Amino acid sequence: MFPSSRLRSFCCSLGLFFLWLTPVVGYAAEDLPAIHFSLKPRLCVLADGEEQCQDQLEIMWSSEQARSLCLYQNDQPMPLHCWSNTTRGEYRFVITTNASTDFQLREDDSDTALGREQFEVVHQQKRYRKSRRNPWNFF
Amino acid sequence: MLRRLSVLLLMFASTTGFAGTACQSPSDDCVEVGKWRIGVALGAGVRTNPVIGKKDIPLVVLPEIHYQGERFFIQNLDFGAMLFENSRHQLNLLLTPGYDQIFFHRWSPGNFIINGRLAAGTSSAENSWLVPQQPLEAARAIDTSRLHKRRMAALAGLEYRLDGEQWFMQWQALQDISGVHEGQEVRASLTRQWRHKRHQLAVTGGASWQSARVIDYYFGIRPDEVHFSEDAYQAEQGISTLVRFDWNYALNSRWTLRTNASYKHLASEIRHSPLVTSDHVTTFFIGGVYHF
Repeated sequence: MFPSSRLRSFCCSLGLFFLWLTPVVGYAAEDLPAIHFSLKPRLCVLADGEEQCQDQLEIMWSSEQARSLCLYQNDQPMPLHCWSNTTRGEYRFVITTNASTDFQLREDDSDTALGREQFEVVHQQKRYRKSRRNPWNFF
Repeated sequence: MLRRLSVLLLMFASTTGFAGTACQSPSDDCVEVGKWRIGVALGAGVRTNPVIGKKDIPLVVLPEIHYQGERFFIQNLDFGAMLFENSRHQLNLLLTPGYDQIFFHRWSPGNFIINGRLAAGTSSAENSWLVPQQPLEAARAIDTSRLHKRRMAALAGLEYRLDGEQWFMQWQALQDISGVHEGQEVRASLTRQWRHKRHQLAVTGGASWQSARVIDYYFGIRPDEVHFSEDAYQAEQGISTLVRFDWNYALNSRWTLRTNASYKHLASEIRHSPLVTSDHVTTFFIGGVYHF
């Protein structure tokens, strides 16, 4: 059994640790770039027999601070689009794909992704089940 | 007896190898999950009515409404929720009507018929209308207007299915939840099916146990419903058995030819009721099913 005095001491230590941690987390949060990154639509469902998703994608971002950002698709080296020293950006294009695709926002002089969103492709497969018999059914 | 029958069915199932088969494509056996299937059977058929003074039930237009969801299903008047499922076994919560009421629904007040025991041997409604000749017989005749109304009960309980490629077993344990008769019913059946090209043939054998409350509600006669208390009939529990034959032939994606025939041997407690003139119910239907 865990002695109650040791349990109390452990809980107190844990509480103090979180009290000590709180300002550190707050400081870190201030340091993070506040970028809202979104894409529409986020999902494409492929029915049976369909092989490709073809959708008009609308990608948007906004930031409180003016930024120079580039939009990348998956791990392609060349960006889809770049913006220079602005607080918001919007990019529309027609995507044709049969697999989920990642989009990243990076600063033009960095490889670090500041925002990441995914356009998800789902293959809807028909499922079948044994039909139910009920010999007692009036019909 | 029904417990013994269930044990026998289980033993049979275990020894005959109910090899479960997963459904990969649509067929008569396999239905698409999440899709409604609506159809109508058009043809000619009849279900005999064992109740004295009642006409046989014509089968001409039979609607079919089926839905198989991920967890729920609807099959005409059966509603179910799946509790467990794999390729061989399925355990469902089931809500289904009790079908005994269908034999009574055409009763009209004022029908005046001789006691079923006296009228034994007459099978259909029109033939069984005997006019009492003697005052005593008249006094002892059953006045159907005095009989309590037979209502349809809603039964709920568990259904267990064991599926194989050629064999199919089903077991249902049901309780009246509508307060109509507060009885219980246990049904067990075993089906063997054959498939050849577009033909599908199935033969089913089954048994249905009904508690005294069920049989007495539908086939009993209460003392206050007859002039002489000895003409009352109180039924006990009983087991009815069933043999059923189904043949389907897929003409195309819209039409299926169908033939059903079944023979239900009524429990002795039902057969002995003064309200019953036959020891069995036979059903026959032949026609086409149109799938919308």
